[in-house]
Amino acid sequence: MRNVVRCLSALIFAAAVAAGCGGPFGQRGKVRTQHRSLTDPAQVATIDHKSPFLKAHMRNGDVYILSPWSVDATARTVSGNGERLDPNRTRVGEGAHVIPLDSVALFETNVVSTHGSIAALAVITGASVALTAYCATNPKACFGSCPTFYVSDGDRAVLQAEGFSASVAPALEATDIDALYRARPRTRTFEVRMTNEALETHVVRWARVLAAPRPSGGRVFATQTGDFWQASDISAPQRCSAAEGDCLAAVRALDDVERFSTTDSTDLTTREVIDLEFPVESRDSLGLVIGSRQTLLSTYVLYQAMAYMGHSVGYWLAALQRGDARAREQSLGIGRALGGIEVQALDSAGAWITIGQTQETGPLATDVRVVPLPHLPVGPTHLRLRLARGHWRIDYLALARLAGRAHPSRLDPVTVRRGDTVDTQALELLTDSSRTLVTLPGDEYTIVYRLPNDFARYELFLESRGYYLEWMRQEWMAEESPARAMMMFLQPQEALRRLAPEFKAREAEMEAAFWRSRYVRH
Amino acid sequence: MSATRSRLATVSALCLVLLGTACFHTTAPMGWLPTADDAQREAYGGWIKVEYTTDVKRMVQGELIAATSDSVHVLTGNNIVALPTATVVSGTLTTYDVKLGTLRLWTVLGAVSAASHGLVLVLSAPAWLIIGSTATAVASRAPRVESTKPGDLRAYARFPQGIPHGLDPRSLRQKDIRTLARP
Repeated sequence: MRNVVRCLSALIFAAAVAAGCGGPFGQRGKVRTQHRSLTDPAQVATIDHKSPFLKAHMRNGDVYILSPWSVDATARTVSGNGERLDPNRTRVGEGAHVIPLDSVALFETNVVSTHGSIAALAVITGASVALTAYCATNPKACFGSCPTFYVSDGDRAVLQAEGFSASVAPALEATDIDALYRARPRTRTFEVRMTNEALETHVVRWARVLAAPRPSGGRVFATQTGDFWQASDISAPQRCSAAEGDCLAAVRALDDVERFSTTDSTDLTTREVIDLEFPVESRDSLGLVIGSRQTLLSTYVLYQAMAYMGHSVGYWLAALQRGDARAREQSLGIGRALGGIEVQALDSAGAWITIGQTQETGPLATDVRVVPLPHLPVGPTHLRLRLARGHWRIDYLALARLAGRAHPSRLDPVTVRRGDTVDTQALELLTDSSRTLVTLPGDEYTIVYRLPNDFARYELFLESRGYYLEWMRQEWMAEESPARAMMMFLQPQEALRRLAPEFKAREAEMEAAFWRSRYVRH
Repeated sequence: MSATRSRLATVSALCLVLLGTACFHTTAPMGWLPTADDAQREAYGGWIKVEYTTDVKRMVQGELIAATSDSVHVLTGNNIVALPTATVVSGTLTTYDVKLGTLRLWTVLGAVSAASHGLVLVLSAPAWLIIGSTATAVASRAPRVESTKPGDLRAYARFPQGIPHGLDPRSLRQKDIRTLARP
């Protein structure tokens, strides 16, 4: 149906544009403007020759309308083909005319041009048609994903977290912890703006702020398993190299300059490595700090899975809900096949072995986590990251000394607002873990927390729990394929191998289109 | 309704109101005004609405026949009215038909087409309505001349040179739009 609407819109649209510019609707539909000039016969040499018609208003009230026309200054005449009209504008003559200037009271010329409004509408039409065309051919790139949370960095609201992004069904409801790494509260009153910016239904069980005391001069980081570590002596790598060469500039600070790569065209699970070198000066416990987010690969794969499910997506989700732990495990198979960011170190035999991993789902907000490391020898130490090509954007890598576990306080909201209105019902829902707050596209809540007195000494995290439901798009139905949907659950490796060429064909433009199409406010 | 949707609805409603009301509306009979292109080939005056005072405020409208330093001549039906310039309070002249229907249709279809933009319609639909209604409102004012000065009006009179010497104004007849053969 939507395709039909698009086609009809495009056709009528083209007709309207044609009408505005003078197409099949002809002269009658043109949006034109007119500039009229009067010229005294004594100044006949100054007549605007861009005017295709010349009107000679005669002293007796008649008028000649000539086209083409010319002026003979020597003979003091104007001549041309056209008609002569009497004062009531009845035609009294037609053909070639030569008119003495001294019988003319005034000359009138008119220059007609396309009105500027056409240019304005043409610009927005071009942009609109391009967007329609792009969304029609790449429907999986035009929509966002995940509940999003904005927090001030001291100057402006910044997208700092996306909640429970991997929880795409009720059965996959989960708790997610995101570092509010760039939060800079100025008072104890701390506001988090939660938005639903996608064609999704978000079911939020809670959204809490976790406040963990920072060590002097240090930070607190969370691990993949939800532990918190106080960290100090945070240092950037001395060397970072990947297939493209030196990547140190991209990863030494959390500055939105990211290191990323493109996928393998034959297999989306193909791995790449990033080699790091850090100076290690003591035998203290260390951790590798990783600031990262996903590319659009995981979003694309999710949408593709739903496209394969097609009309029976409800059946699939219900089956998942009814199913046992094994079924839920299978539903996570695709995510596992794509994998997280593995941290590797050399073992005593000189082989790279995985010693930890981080895997935060979602392409929007960069999350900062720490991967605790086993004791490393003093001196230059080499670490390796192993990850699926084209799957991760890495903004920040650092080595930190882990001073000890941190135990954050959990802060429930004290107020919830929608716009300028206090929403007591939303507050009740977010503070009662047996109930949920349901949000729809466009919904926006400001959640207010009360921080500890010495709030500046605390590292803040957002702990959200819930799940979300993607809305099916009409465009996806065309790709319905139960067999391929089943393959994504049962043979995720093979499914990702088959998807590789299709994703590769769209990869370059997808990222740019995705960010253009969202209305995320960075 | 969420704040965002509420704002979207408000913006849309305001734009639609703007589309309908911010435009200049002529009082000329339908089909009376030529398009800008046709006006090159016709020799009638524009449509003028004049407010003037004698003892009370009055209004007359019709074809502008002439505007001279001492009077404004308006043909209402087949009757010529000569108004002393000193009594004219306002004059609103429409010189041609700018074809606003095309712009309105374009704007509405553009806004409807935003439905194919997915969630981006939250931006693209209001953009269509704001730009379209603004463009339409601006275009609607292009053929309008609002003035009481004869010098501003006379170029769009049937006789820009003034009433021709020896012509009986009572012999003038109104434009018959049924007999005009516009291309």
